[in-house]
Amino acid sequence: MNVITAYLETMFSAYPHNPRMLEAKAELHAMMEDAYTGYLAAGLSENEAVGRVITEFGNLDELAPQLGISAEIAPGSSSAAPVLSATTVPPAYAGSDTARRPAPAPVTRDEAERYADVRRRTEPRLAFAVAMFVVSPAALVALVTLSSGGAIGLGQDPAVLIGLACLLVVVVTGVLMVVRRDQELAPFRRLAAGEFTRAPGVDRWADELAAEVAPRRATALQVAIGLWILAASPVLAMSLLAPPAVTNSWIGVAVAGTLVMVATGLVVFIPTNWAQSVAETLTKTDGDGHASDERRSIVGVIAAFYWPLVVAIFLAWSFVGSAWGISWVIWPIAAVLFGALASGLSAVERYRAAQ
Amino acid sequence: MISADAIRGYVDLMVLSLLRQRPSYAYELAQQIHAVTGTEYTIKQTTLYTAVKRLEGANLVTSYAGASASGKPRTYYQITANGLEHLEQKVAEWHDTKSVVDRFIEGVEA
Repeated sequence: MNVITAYLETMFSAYPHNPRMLEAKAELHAMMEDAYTGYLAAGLSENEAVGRVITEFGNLDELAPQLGISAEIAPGSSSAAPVLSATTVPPAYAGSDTARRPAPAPVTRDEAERYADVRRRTEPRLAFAVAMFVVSPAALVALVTLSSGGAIGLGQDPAVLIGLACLLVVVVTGVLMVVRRDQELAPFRRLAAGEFTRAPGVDRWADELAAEVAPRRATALQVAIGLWILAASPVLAMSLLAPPAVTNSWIGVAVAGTLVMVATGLVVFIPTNWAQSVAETLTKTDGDGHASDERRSIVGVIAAFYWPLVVAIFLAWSFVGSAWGISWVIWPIAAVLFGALASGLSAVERYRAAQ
Repeated sequence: MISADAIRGYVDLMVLSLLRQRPSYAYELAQQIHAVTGTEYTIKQTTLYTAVKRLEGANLVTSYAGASASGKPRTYYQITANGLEHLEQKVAEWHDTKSVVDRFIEGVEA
C-alpha cells in the first residue's frame, strides 16, 4: 500500500496543491486502495496487486482540465476533455481552460510512446544515411589513385567520372533516407522543438526506457570507438609496410577501407542511441517546467556531424597537402577526442542531475 | 482489446447508464464497468474519475458524502434530471454513430 501512496504522491507532485487537487488525490487514493484490497481478495500477491493498480491508474493529464489546473494545459491539447457535444454543454464548462497563461500542451504518454516507436524504427535509417555520407568518397578516392598509379587499366578521366557518379548516387540515397525519416518524425516536431510541457508520468517512463537500453548503447559505443581508433590501420599499414610504388596506387583503397570502418562504427552506435535521445528530448526543461532544447542528445548529434567532418578534413589534408604518410593520425586523435567528449558530457550530465 | 481513444466518447454514456440504476461511488463504477466489458476494455482510474468530475461540472450528476458498509468515507454520485436527458441524447447519438460506421464497414469483412 505504501508503494501506491508514494506513486500517487509522485504523480501529483508536479501539480499545484489546490483544494480540488487534494480532493482528487484523496478520492483516487481511495479507489486505488479499494482496487488493491479487491485484487488481494481475488488471490493476487501483494506485488501483483500493486502492479495491477498502478497499471490501471492512467494519466493525470486528462484530469487536469477538470480540476481547474488549466495553466498546465493549453487550448486544443489532445488531452483536453473532448467528450460532451457542444449543444449540451454550459459555456463555463466548455471553455474553462482557455484565456489563461498560454503554455504549450503537455506531452501525453500516448504521444511519447508513438514518438519513441518512430525514433526506434527510423534511427537505423539515420545511421545508414550518415554512414553513406562517410563512405561516399571511397570509390572516387580508390579509383583515382589506382588509375593514376597504373594499377588498373582505366584512364584518369573515366576513373574520376565513375568515382563521382558513385559519390553522387550514395549521397543522394543518404539524403533521401534522411528526408524520409524527417517525414515520419514530422508529427512530433513540437517535441523535438521543445514546445511542450513536461508530464511526470512521461518523464518517469522515458527515463526507464533509456535505462533499459543503456547497457546496449554503452556496448555499442565501445565497439564503435574501437572501430574508429582502428580505422587508421589500413592507411597506416599501407604507408608503413608497402613499398612506395605499391603505396602510390593502393593508398586510395586503404582510405576506402578506413572510411568503411568509420561508417561501420556509426552503423553500430547510432541505432542504439534512440532511447537516450528520446529521454533527453522529453525530460529537458527550463526553470518553468517547459521543455528547452539545450543539451539535446549531444553525443548522438556529435556522432552524426563529427565523423563526416573528420572525413572531410582527412581527405582535404591528404589530397591538398599530399600528406598520406602522416594524415592517418587524424583517426586515432579524432576517436580518442570523441571518446573523451562522450564521457565528459555524460559526467557533466550526471553532475547536473545530482545537483 | 478496445483502445482508450476509440471508446473515450462513450465513457460518459457508460457512467450515466450505471448511475441511472442507483447512486454509486467511483470504485464501484469501475468494478461495474469491468464486469460488463471483461477483458475487452479496462477503464483507467483517472479516465473514470475525470468522466465523473466532468459530468458533475456539467450538472449531469451530483455528489454527496456517504460511507461504505465498513464505515469508510466515500463520495457517492447520483444522476440528475439533466443527466437522464443527456443520457437519452447520447444513446440516440450512439445509434446514429453505429449506423453510420456500419454503412462504411459493410462489405469490408469478407
